[in-house]
Amino acid sequence: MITIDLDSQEPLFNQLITQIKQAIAGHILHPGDPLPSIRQLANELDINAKTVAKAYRLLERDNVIESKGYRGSFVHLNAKDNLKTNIKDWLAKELVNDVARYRSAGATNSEIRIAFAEALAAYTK
Amino acid sequence: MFDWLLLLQVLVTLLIAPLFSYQRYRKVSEHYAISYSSAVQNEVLTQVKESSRFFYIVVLAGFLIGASASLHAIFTQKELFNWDNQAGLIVLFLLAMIPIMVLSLQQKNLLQTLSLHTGGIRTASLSPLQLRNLLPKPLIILIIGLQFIFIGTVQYFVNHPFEGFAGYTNLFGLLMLDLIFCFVTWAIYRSKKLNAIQIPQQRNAIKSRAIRINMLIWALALFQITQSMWTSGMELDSLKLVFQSAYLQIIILLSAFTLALPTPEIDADK
Repeated sequence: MITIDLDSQEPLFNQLITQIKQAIAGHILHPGDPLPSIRQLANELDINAKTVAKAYRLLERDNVIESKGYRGSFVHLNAKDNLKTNIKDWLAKELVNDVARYRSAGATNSEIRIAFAEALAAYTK
Repeated sequence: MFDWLLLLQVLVTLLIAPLFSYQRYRKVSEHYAISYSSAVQNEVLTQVKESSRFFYIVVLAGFLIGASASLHAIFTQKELFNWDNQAGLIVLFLLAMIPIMVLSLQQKNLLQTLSLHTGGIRTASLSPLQLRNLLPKPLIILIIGLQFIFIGTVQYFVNHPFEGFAGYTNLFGLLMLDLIFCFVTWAIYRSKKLNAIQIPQQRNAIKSRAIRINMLIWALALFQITQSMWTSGMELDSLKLVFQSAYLQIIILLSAFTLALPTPEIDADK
């Protein structure tokens, strides 16, 4: 069972990701098991379908779940190994190293911030 | 025979069905409150107790009206409500629907009370719930079979018409009936009204049972319109009344059963 708290500080999509990961770690969901559709989950939780879609997208990116087109979403066959994947931690570590390099080259905080925003915008385009 | 069936209809639809469903509603509403704090449990108990007086008055009034009209028709050997037996049966049916409607409103109020106390907590099942899994195959086969029988019956009476037969317009009626029942099934499947019940398995069990009963009523409606055509075609008016009375009794019993929340099973991990 998924339980989310609308009054919590934690974003709803994060709560959903944590709950699904916990269900896999706790052997409630097994590799290959079907997951409820985005519409069903949004309907039952009475939240926006885009929030559920975002959670599913991020779980899919981390290979915790996989989408099989019209058949729906399923728990990834290697989900248990992939549960440890934490993009947030990896990103933070990488950025700390990068920022240290820029600072040693003499760049100021605002120069790094502007350059980073411009690079991100160019990449997004 | 019609007299006995009439008395049975009054007893079953105006007394037994509403009292049975109310007792069930009372017991089960206490069960549903168990997952909440004792203050909420007390609030639910008070709400149920306060609503019971009004419900019993409605049931008693309906029963007295129905019983006196039926006894008057039996002892004076006149038609129901000094009008027409067939129309009278429909009036008794509508009278029996009043307690069911009252109970459904009380149930709605109870769910609203519970949803006020859930705060920001929302729950959902981890298993997919698809409409096709909620539709029982035997009932689907029965409904499809009854559709063919009805179409065959219309075709037969187009060639051997009786007075008042509407011809192929009956097929349009069948289409309307199918659309209404399909819409009701879809509405039950997509309903958010039960979200106040915190355990998803209980919500799904209620949906599943409501869909099954809706499909059973659909099958009965198809049977009723088909047999009504045959009894009219064979000029068996007394039998038509017997079938109609039995049909209305079953519909009331099924409606009463649908409206009473099913007994909750607390254990649920998925």
